Amino acid sequence: MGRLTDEQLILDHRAGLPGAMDQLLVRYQDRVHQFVRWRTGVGQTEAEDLAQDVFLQVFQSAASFDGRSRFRTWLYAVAGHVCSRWLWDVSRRRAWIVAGVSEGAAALEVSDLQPNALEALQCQERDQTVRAAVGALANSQRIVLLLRDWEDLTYEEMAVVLEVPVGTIKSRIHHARLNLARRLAPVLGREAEA
Amino acid sequence: MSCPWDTAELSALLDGELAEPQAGQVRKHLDRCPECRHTYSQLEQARSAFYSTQPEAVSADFTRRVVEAVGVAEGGGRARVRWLAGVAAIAAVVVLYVAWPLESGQQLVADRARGTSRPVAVVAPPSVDPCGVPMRCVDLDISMRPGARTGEETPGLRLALNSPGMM
Repeated sequence: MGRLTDEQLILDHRAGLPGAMDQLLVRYQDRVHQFVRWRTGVGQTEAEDLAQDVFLQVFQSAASFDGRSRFRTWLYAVAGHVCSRWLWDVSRRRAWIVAGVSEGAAALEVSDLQPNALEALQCQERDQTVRAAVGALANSQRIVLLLRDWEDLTYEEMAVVLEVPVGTIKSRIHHARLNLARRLAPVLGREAEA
Repeated sequence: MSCPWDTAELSALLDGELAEPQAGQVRKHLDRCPECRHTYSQLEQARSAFYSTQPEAVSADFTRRVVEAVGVAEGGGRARVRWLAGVAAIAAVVVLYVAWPLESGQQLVADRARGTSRPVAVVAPPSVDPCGVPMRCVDLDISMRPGARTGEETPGLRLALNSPGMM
């Protein structure tokens, strides 16, 4: 028996078949967590909480998945909404803090929300370099690479997920790849010579 | 960059996002422009490099936590349904309790005629409203009635939907 498609698994979950939800989780949890982390700039723990919200919404509203789009497009659209809502809440809190409503509270700095670009990774040197280069990209650029290269979403699907025009997606992907290539030039140059 | 070509088209070509004849035009340009070929090669390498990376793994208990959270949420939903069903059942019992003694006014009159119902109080609004329009009305009949088994009189309450002229 072949690997079940995502769409079949979500239908199985709707039908109450045990295990379907677990399979979908195992397939997507790491990448959705990464998406949420890059989209919001929060740390691992908070990103896991947000990712949990995403999956909770997905599985609870499985009946509303009409199959007109791919499951992964729908999943990332939900993830995008969860992140947008979180970012909106944060910006509102910041506005309150700046307005002095919450006196004495430390103002939230943008830098607090940024992931550590050069997070120590116990990988090989090349992988470390690539990850560091990816980490140095802007979140908006990493997100489009994730959706395109890891999830294989089309530009149009990405535009739906990120709620921006297709032209913006096209430009953002291109600049993300150019930036990455520039940061990886020393490594890629050595590999080309070898 | 001396080539005036929009290099964003190169990424789109790499991603298979260009339809013909646009894709063919970009390929033709690549054949004759070394600068764009170099850029295209860089883009390919960047894509390959990103593809080779892995997302950070979630905590080992993440899957279990989500499954439990979904279970709790669905359980909460079922509990809400059970609660609503309970309320509906109670409402149905109340309606039956109130509606059961409703009998036709004729039955009430017949009971009175047989002496099986001795009215303690009868509240009967006029059957014609001040404008002379016939009205339907409700009799509230609080009576002492003989019990079905013992014959002992017990208080009873009857609401009778009455037609004009019945009283």
